[in-house]
Amino acid sequence: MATESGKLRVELTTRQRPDRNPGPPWGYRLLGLGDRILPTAIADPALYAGSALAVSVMPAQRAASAEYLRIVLDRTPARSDINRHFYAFSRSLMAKLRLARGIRPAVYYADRRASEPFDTLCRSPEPALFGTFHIGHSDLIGCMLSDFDRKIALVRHRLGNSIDTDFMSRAFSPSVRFLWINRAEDFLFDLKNAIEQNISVGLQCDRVEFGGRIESFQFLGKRRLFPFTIYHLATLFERPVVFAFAGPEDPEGNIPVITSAVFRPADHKDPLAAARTHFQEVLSVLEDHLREHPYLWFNFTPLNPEARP
Amino acid sequence: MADELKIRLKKLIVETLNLQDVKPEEIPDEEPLFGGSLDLDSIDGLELALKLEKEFGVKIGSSEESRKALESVEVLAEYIKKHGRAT
Repeated sequence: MATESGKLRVELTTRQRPDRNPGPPWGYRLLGLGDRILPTAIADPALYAGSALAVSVMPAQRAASAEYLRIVLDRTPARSDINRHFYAFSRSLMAKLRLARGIRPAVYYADRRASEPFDTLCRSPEPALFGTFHIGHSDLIGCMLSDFDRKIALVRHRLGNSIDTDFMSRAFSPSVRFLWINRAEDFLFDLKNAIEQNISVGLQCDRVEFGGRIESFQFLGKRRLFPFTIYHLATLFERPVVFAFAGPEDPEGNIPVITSAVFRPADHKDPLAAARTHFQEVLSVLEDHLREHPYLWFNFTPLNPEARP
Repeated sequence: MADELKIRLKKLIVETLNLQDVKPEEIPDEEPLFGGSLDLDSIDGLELALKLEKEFGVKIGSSEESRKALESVEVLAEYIKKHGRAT
C-alpha cells in the first residue's frame, strides 16, 4: 500500500475487492415482506430478532462490529451492543425498502444555518463532488438531492445484493442516478467521464476499496487510512467538494442531515494541503457524531487500517 | 521529430506530476511508467491523460486505454502520433 515515493494508494482489481456488508439477495425481499404484512408492534421486535440472528451467523461482520464498538464505546461491547449495531443497519435497509412502496421520509438539515453553504451550492448550477459515508440513513440523502435541479451520479459497486439500490434509484428523481462501477480498475475514468459531462458525483469516502489515493487522518484515536481521491478529482477538475451524512432518524421517521463547509481548490495556494485540513474537520465532526450515536457506523468490515508511522 | 516529441513528453510528465527528484532526460524511452522507477499510480495516469488531452487532443477514455498509452514514453509518442492532432 505504501510506496517508496511516499504515495499511499489502492490499486485493487475487481477480484481483490474486500468483503462488503453481505446478505443474500432474497434477504431484502424477506425484510420487505415482513414489513408489509406484520403490524408494527410485531414487525419491529421481529426485525430485532432477525438482526440478532444475523449476528450469530455472520462471524466476520460480528467481529468487525465488536472491533469498532470496542473503540467507539471505549469498553468491551456486550452482545446486546452488537445486536443493536446490526439492528440499526437493518432499520436503514428497511427505510430503503419502504421507498419502493412510496414511503419517503422527509430529509432535512439538522442545522439549517450551518448548512447554508451546502444548500447554496446545491441550488446553483455548479457541478460538485459530494462526499458521504456509510453512516445511518445517508443513502437517503438522494431524496434531498432529488429536490434540486442538478444531475448527480451516485457511485456504487455492482453487487449481488443491490436490490435496495435499485429501489432507491426508482424513488429518486431521474436527475439523480447511480453510476455503477462494475470494474474497480475503471473507477477513475468512469468518474472522469461523468465529471466531464458536468454531472455532479456522489462518493462514499470511508472504505479503502476503490482505486485511488489514500491518506491518513486522525479518527477514533489513531491515524487511520481513508480514501482521499475525491480531493484529487476536485483539484484536477476544479470542482468544489462538500460532505453530507445522515443523523439518526427522528421520532417521526424523518432524517436529519449534517453537512460540511464547501471546499474549493481554487481558493487555496496549496489545494491538497487545504484539502487535508478540510477532510480532517469532516472526520472530526463524524467522530463526534459516532461517539454520540455509535450504532450508525455501517461498515461491518475491519475498521480503517492504522497508518504506519 | 520523434525525438523532439519524446523530449516534450518527458518534460510534460515531470512538470505535470511535479516529479521533483526526476530530470526529464533521466527517463529512458522504454522505461515502464507504471510499476517502473517512476512508480506512477492511477491518479497520476488520470492527471497525465487530462494533460495529454489538452496538449495533443488525444482522448483517453478508460483506465485500460491509459495503461496501454502510458506504457512508456516510446509507446506514448507512438500513441500520440497515431491519435493526436498535429501540434
